[in-house]
Amino acid sequence: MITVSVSHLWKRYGKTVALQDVSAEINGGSFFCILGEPGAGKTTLLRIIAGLEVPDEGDVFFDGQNVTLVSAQKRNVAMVFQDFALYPHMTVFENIASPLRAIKAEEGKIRERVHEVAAFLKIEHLLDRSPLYISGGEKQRVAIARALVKEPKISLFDEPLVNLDFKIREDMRAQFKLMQKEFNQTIVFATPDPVDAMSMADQVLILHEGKVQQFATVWEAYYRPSNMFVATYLGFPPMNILSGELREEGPHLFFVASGLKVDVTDLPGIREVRERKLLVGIRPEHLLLGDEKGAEISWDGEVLLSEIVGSDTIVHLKVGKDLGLRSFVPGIYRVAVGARVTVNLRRDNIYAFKESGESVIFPGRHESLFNTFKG
Amino acid sequence: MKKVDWKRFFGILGLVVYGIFVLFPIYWTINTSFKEVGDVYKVPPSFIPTKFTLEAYKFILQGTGRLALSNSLVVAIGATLIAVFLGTMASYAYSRYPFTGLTNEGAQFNLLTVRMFPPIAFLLPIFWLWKTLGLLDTHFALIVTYSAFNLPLAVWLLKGFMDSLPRSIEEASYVDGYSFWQTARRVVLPLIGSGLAATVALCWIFIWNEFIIAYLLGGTDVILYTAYLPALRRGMRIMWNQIAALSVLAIIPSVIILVLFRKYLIKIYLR
Repeated sequence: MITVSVSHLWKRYGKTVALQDVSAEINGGSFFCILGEPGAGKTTLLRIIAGLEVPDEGDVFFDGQNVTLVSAQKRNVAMVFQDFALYPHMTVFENIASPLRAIKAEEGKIRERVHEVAAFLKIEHLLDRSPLYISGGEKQRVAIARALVKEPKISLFDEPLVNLDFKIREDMRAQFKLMQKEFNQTIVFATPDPVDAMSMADQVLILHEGKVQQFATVWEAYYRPSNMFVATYLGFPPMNILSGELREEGPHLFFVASGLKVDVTDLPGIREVRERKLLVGIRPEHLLLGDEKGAEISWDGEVLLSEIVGSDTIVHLKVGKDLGLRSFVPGIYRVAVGARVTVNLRRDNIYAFKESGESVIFPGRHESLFNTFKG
Repeated sequence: MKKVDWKRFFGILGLVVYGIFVLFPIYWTINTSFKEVGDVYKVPPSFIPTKFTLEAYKFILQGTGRLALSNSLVVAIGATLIAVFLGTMASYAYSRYPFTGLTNEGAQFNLLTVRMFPPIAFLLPIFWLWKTLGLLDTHFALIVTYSAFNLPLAVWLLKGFMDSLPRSIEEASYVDGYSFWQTARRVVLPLIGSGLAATVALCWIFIWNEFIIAYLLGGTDVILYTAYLPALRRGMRIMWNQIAALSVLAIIPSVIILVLFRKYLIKIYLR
């Protein structure tokens, strides 16, 4: 297993800049997620690591060795393409065997290895079929089998879950993790879905418009987001953002936003904040409804809408004058539209950002708290 | 009583009439080729030869006719192979790489315009070119000229097939550990196979049936069958049976190619 690192990568396509000064280190044996919206540069980064694209500036290292100009053929990487890219004129068996034929492996060995991988992915019954006549989920398994079969230095997955339906996605997430352990692989996984990253990744590289927003473990990015983009992107439903200002009243410090007044005097780090205008972020899962004992902040809210997503509930609330907030309640939570509820929040779950988006206050600031999150 | 499906009836009737319309000249050519020359001019004409004879075939296969047919085969095979070979490579480039200065469509359109002019517009300069080079009336000159005229067609047809081949399939092959040429052989060529077959068939037909180039650039040392046909006019008498025999022989290679490749040709129209 090798460590792959990229340093100061730049890539332009005509006038659009796909990557801007991207650096990251991918440890051998880890599950590494590249997270970003469509067009953020995820695919470009994967293609550069694979050797399908040469960066305009910057280098790619495999275990300290500069491979920037080494072709894909010679890099010994595996890649699962978004459209799976199976060879339509070959059987499923030949598709999976393709990387082994490239290194001229023995026929018996090829047979054994293909069957082993196919058995793991439960596609043995498809081996004699044409990839044209199998389902999307099966195609994806074949594409993954082709990547697993050759013991690559690193496996690259380009949004492999996007083309699959919801149910198969759930199954595949668990499978990916299992597969990584079983075959002892280093996996780089590009995805626009934060849920993928949060359920699978050891480390996550968050890209936005070709720029690295944060490179950290998932929990670090969740509790110590570097900026508002990361904070809102990582998490579902997205974080509530309130725009307001800090006001000093005697010894007390308040955050005031459209009719709401929060005493933040004791919020660690708040004294160091120079800016008066702030954006405060509250994750929907941190807004608890009902009579919480010992809640540090409590507001009265009115239920505007309650939607059930999967087996959880998102409650849309109106708080203060006209402040819209979303609360995430695990399980099915039945509440009438228009009902008055108490909204509770622990003070140390508050995030705050400068107007530029840079983080100033976040839960992970408190080292002890952060350590308990890390488990 | 069963209802008569008139729509189907007239459809089939229409096709039968069309079939007769298309096939009758071929039938008449074959019929004529087995007649004696006197029999050809008989009024009313007979629908089968009154005296069945292979005279005309013997004449064609013994004399210049055989030479003309073999010249035609050499030139048509050579030019088709060159046009399709270069066309495959050029269409790959057009399909995969950006062209600076011109857009890809522009560059390709430039190439296609070569086929929009009537060939006669180019032929005088081309004639002088070969004459100056001392290559007039050679297989080489004919093959090069025919390839040049058919290359745009080959590129245009094949580019469509190349475009429909996803790039990621080639890239998957690189990642699997294959080189560019291995990928071309393993993935690209098999997947555009039907395109290649169709292109071969169309290029062949254009080259094999061509007259003006054959007449102007060849004709003495290297005579192609299309240029030889008009020579089968003896004074006031036209040897229709010999012309028919040569025509029948000339149809054979095209029929073989069309039958072999017909399912790929249909694909072009269905695309």
